Amino acid sequence: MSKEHTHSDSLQYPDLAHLPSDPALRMKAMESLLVEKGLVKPETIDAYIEKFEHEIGPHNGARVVARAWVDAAFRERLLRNATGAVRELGFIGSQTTDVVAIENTPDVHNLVVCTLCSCYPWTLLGLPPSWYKSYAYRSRVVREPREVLKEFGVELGEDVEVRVWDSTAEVRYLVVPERPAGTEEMSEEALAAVVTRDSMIGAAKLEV
Amino acid sequence: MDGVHDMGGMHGFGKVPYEKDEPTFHHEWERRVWGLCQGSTYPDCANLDYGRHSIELMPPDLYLSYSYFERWLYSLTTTLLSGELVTLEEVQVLRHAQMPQAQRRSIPMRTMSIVAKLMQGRCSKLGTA
Repeated sequence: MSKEHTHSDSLQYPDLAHLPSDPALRMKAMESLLVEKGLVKPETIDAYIEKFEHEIGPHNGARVVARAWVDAAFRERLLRNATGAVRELGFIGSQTTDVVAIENTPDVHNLVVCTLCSCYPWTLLGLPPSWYKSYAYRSRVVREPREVLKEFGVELGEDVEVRVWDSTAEVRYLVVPERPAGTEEMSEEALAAVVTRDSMIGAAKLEV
Repeated sequence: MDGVHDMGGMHGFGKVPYEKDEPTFHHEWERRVWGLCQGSTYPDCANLDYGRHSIELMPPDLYLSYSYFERWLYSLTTTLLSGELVTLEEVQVLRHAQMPQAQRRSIPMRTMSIVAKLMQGRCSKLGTA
């Protein structure tokens, strides 16, 4: 047996079956243990929560999309090398080291999934919603994306091609939704306010 | 590796539980699990791929019955165990964990004493305590 294999097995078999069944209790117990052992500080936990619940979120991705709508050169850079383009706006960080932007058009609708787990561009969109992480979404969306989209309220004509992008270990996708009609006069800032999280996953179309 | 986590194309999971504008966390414990997983010290070998792998190694019945953040907590636990930052004995002691003080304090003393008596067999139902 190779070393690597032994290592994997050692991860697989710890007897955790008798831990408390209530996840809140399990969490509290684990937190207490790690704090006691000096492996984490409660205020560090608080800080991460604060950051991801209030600072980092879809408003970041919305800024990228709005910029792409108003600035043709930026849009081109974004579609060619999204990692570099989002960096121009200061978005560097967790799960955003290899970003690919894909653009929805009247002919093509893009939709993002992580069938294996929950990969998602945190720095641009925050943490993924529960439905994105659900077994139903992960299993179905690569098989019947039109049906799933219909359930989300997105009806696509038969002539619209649907492309589903399955995140890899490294690549994070950002959908650039179609700019809605009637927004021609809006400022970049006002446009950013129109862009929703779901539209940047491909799970919604935008209207104003 | 092949496993239950490789869900693309599977049947039987029903409708997507779509919730418009849902909050980042639905329960306080989910918020803490996530923060704990972010803030914890890890073994040197543990990177993002390692964490993902530790979830993929979960027994399939556990994987399917655990919610998302329960899987994260499981992954954190097995990862710290494999790096010997915590021991199995320490983790197994957690089975005796009590609810946090704040919540225990919220239980009225009268209820506590009734329960204590019940457990000692000194009365047969709440009304007789």
